Amino acid sequence: MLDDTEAEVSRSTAALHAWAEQLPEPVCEAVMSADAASPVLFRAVPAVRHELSPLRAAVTEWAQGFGFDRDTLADLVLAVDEAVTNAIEHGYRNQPAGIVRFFAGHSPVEKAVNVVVADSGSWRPPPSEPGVRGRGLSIIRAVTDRFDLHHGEHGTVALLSWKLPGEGAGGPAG
Amino acid sequence: MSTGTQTILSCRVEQHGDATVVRVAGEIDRWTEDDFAQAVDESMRGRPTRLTVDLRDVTFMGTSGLRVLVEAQHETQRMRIVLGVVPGRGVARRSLEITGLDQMLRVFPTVAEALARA
Ligand SMILES: Nc1ncnc2c1ncn2[C@@H]1O[C@H](COP(=O)(O)OP(=O)(O)O)[C@@H](O)[C@H]1O
Ligand SMILES: [Mg+2]
Repeated sequence: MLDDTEAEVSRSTAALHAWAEQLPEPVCEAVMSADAASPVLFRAVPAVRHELSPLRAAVTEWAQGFGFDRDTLADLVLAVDEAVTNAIEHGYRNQPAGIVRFFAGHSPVEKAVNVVVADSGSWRPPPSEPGVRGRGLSIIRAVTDRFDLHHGEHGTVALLSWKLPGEGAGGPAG
Repeated sequence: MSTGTQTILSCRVEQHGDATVVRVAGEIDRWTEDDFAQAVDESMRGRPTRLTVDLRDVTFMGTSGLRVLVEAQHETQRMRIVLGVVPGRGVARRSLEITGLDQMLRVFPTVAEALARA
């Protein structure tokens, strides 16, 4: 049993690293720095709207145990949902069977948790008059400690990071 | 296996004299957005003097839900209906605060207060 589990873990670690190597350099680094001993989520999510709720549930469960307060946990789930929603409704607007690659892990080096949302769709230039739209990216920017958005020929990759509690940008406390 | 939106969102429209209350429970996201919008639209149809959206039992609300509220604000202004929102103390309040929409909408701590003062 244990051997099976270990084999499984190393297989999925290999898959994770193979995927990470195709990502933009800074995002690849964030994924590679994930601590294998901490819980990691690595999923291929079909780009359909009813996948959002179960993914939020998984993220909520994964995010427990890092010591985040209630508001930060809510912010994290909110921002992740916006990024995945964008991949589904914008990135794959022309493709019915897209896959959103999703990663969430803890980086001991960065003292942060990192979430990566990647689609292989196509970037849509934001409308100049967004009307009642256009709040998703600004929410993500507002509630994350780091937000990198890379879009190119092969789709869009978003990296969302939160410093662990007590690891503010001002350096180590005490 | 059921994938109906009703499994994660429920909207109930109640009549209180000439005021209407929409009680929302569950998750408002890009999937359930249309159901929420439909309930809000329906509640305006009888042209109540006041429309109160009770979000206290909402467990998730992203920009999809916020968009419905902003559209409702425009529509109720046009129809001269007074719109009130009761976000509660959970995630709905947080989403409204982050986007500053708590400043743009009339927010009340309880449905009773929304009905009395709106
Ligand atoms: N993954 C993505 N793929 C393609 N375009 C995207 C993606 N994410 C965001 N966009 C573009 O950025 C815009 C702004 O996104 P957002 O702030 O979430 O607003 P909204 O989703 O309401 O339009 C979108 O309208 C779209 O043009
Ligand atoms: Mg969006």
